[in-house]
Amino acid sequence: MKKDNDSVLYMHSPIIRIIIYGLLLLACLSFLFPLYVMIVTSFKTLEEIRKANMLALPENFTLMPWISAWQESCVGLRCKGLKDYFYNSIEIVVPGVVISTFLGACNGYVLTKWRFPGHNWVFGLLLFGCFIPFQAILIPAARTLGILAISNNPIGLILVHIAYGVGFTTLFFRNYYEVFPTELVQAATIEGAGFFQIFFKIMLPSSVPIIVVCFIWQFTNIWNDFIFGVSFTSGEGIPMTVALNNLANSSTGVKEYNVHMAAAIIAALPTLLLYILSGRYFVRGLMAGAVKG
Amino acid sequence: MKDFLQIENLTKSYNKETILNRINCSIAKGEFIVLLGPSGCGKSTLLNCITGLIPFETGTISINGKEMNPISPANRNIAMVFQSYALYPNMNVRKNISFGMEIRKTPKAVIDQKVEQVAELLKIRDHLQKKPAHLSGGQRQRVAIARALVRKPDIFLFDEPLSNLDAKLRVNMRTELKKLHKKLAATIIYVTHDQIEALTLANRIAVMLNGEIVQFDTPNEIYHHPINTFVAKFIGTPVINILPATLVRKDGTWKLKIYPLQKNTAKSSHAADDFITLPIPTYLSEHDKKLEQIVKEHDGKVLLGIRPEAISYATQLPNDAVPATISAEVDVVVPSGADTFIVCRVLGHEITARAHSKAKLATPSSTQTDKTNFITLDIDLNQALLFNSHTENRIL
Amino acid sequence: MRNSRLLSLKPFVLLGRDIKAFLLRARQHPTPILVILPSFLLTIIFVYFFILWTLTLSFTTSTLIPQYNWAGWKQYFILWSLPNWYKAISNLGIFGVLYIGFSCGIGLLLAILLDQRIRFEGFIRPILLYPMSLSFIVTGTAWKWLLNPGLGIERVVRNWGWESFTFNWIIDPDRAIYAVILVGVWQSTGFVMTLFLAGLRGIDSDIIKAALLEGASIYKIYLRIILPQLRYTLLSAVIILAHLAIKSYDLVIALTGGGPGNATELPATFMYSYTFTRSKMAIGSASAIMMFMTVVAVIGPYLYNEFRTKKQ
Repeated sequence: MKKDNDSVLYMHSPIIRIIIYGLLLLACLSFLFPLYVMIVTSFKTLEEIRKANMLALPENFTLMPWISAWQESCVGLRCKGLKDYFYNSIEIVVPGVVISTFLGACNGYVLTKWRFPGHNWVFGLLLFGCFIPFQAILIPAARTLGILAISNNPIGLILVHIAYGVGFTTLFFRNYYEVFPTELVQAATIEGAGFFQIFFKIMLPSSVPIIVVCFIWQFTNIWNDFIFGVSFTSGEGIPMTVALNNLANSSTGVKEYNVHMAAAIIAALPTLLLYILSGRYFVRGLMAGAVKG
Repeated sequence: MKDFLQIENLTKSYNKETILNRINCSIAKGEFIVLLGPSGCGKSTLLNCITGLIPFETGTISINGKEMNPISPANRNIAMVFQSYALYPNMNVRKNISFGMEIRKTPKAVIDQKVEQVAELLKIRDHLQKKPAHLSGGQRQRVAIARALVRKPDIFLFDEPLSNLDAKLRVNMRTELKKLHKKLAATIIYVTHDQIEALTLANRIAVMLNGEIVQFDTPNEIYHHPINTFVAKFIGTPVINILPATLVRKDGTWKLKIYPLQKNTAKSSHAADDFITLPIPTYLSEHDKKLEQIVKEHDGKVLLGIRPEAISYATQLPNDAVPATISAEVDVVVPSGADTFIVCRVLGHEITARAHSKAKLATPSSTQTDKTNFITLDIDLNQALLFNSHTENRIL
Repeated sequence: MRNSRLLSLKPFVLLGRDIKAFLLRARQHPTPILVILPSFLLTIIFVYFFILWTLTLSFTTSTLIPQYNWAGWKQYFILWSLPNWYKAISNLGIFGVLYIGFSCGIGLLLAILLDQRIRFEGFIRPILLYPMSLSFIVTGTAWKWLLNPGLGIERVVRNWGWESFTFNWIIDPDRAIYAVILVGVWQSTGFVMTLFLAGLRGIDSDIIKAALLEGASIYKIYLRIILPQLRYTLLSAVIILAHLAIKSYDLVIALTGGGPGNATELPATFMYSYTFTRSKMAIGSASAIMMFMTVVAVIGPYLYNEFRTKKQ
């Protein structure tokens, strides 16, 4: 909807302007301050952390915390750093995102352009799956993965992430295809294209924006997942978030805050980069997830 | 080939609501048929039934003598131009045109040749590499038509194809469509709610209302002999004047009386001293019996339909006219280029009359609202139509 | 009259007809149905069947491994007699109300400030939103360090000269839950702000112009015209935050681990610890079912409503 930039509504006296900008500056500082502290701390030595102010820039700039976090720090009894867990997460995220996005696209296509009697029921059941607290399915899921012999295995986590992500991806694609002109499907039908031809040649190539939204949403959710990781994996099979938590909460030895901060940044980096590179789509995903149904 | 496309007893309902009710019509090869009607009359649904995109309960559709009901949309050899053009946004113009042929695995050389031909015909050669988003409305329209043409279908269906274009472009495209039809001798079914489009394009018009074809005839017949007041009002601008009138026989000749608007109601049926008497159209004078029946059944009450061009101010009536003059009070003068229309009141009934654009007319000035402005109008009753006051169907 | 309507078989007749129509379509045109089938089955198993499974377990005496003996409502009685569960519930109450309240309040304020044709809007917005892209584990790890009394914010302020400053919420059993709230608000406010900003931008400026022409002051316009139009945005925000609050587990684990003691126990951490560390699976299941019911009570009407209005 249109909004005029020069509306009287937004004309304030200089004092009010200063207050507005002041408040916003304060907000920005308090939002950035933890990130700043994380970054400076990760370049300090433990010595310096104990001695100096948390906010101060590193005096003796060191990369050791990063190196340690990546390949030397101890998670449990295993002291090979976080790198293997980082790869674990990637191994789970990539197939999880691709498969759930693809399924969502298929479902959205069927639920808007090839409706069948009862399609609303199917959508309702899929959608409701987005909202259940995972605690309510944790025990059966753990048992099932055990029975299928895929617990503590990337395949198990991938399956779980697909099962609980497909509701959201279906929602995204359904809402996108809902306003996608049905005439295009009709035109292609008259020209002789079938179900799959229309999907692969017309729908999917026109869905780049929603594919990106879906990709970011799923990537963020799966990468940031903790509860499935901690419940279904252990030892060398744990994903990055669980490893970070184990590292930071290990009760033995000295708390190496600089290493913890470096590790936290490493764990945050993929989603943070994705957010910085594609903020617009990230916001769209959040909004689409918020305005449901 | 009179029955190239034949529709028999087609009925379609949705959620217990009848959308199409027992549609019957047959269309000859090479005809340009327009389905005309207000929105919601079922014309687009009928079009979609012909494509096979939506199913219907009963009835048959056959093309060239072959029943189409069990045949999929893809195999009916029908092409459609959509209101939104429905160009595939991810493909360039060339791909859009060739998509259907590629699906059917037509050899590449043939495709290229056909695309070139049709692009030449519709003057879109320069745009073949562009995506639809980079085309203007008119160009998109051409691409959509090209895509339909290239497959040489048995029947072309157009679903309000010009309604997204601006007024000037619409007139241009109308002419081009007409030319194209002539050149290709194609069978076209064209849906619109714009009566001018229907009148200018069609060989025959099917006027639809509430899921039924009310009248299916040539534009000329539909304009001059509308089957009922709905068709009469739907076709022609400005809208036909419809006045309640009463048939009376006086000294052996039939006359039409028009009473003032307020006195026509039951409450004040007294002293009808203020009325107008008009002669009846010539074509009715031989039908004494029919007129008598109306007097018997409806007290002689009829609806008199006169198109604005049959009520004129300061212009010559045709030679065969049945003339009459009435006095009218001018409300508004509406100039519209060649003609000027006068909205005025006759005994309280609002009517529209036509004047030549150069006719001198004093518009009632807004500052002196109490001052009335009467003019004398000539009516040609021979162009008038009589409708049954109950059924609103035309009498004879 | 009313009884006969209650006993009407109409819904079942309708359902029967739907099923019949569905089967007919499945035979005539199976492809779309086959395409959606894997996702549907996956959801049926992983969501609905699993919930029933958990429900079943909550009526047994399962401990370390599931046992399928009938124990009736026993576990629910035990659950509701546990002080730990009360702590979790009351914490959820405090956490839910304050987390939602502060996130919405600050989020709305920031949205209104940012809607004043701010010059650096494109720069400020991403800064306020980036926490949303972080894992709660990352956030928790970072804030645990910031809130550490010996090394974090408390020491910084003391170094500045305010020697008596104390900010030790994270180790104070009475205040630890507020530390969790603080971090939760920090993470979610940007998201709420984005929702409200979109709501503000969605208001037709002509309405505001009309009000200005009628002589309303800016504050009146916000109070009487703009804010009332944001009530649906507020509803969405509250529902989403409530949903997040009920299932929040990671944040507490990373920040306080539920401690000190059980000071920051929430139903989510309660369920996990009873099931997986204390080997009281049946009680864990009962608590999970309680959580599920709460979510259904919050989300159910909202979803139902959204769904119904969409259909019309």
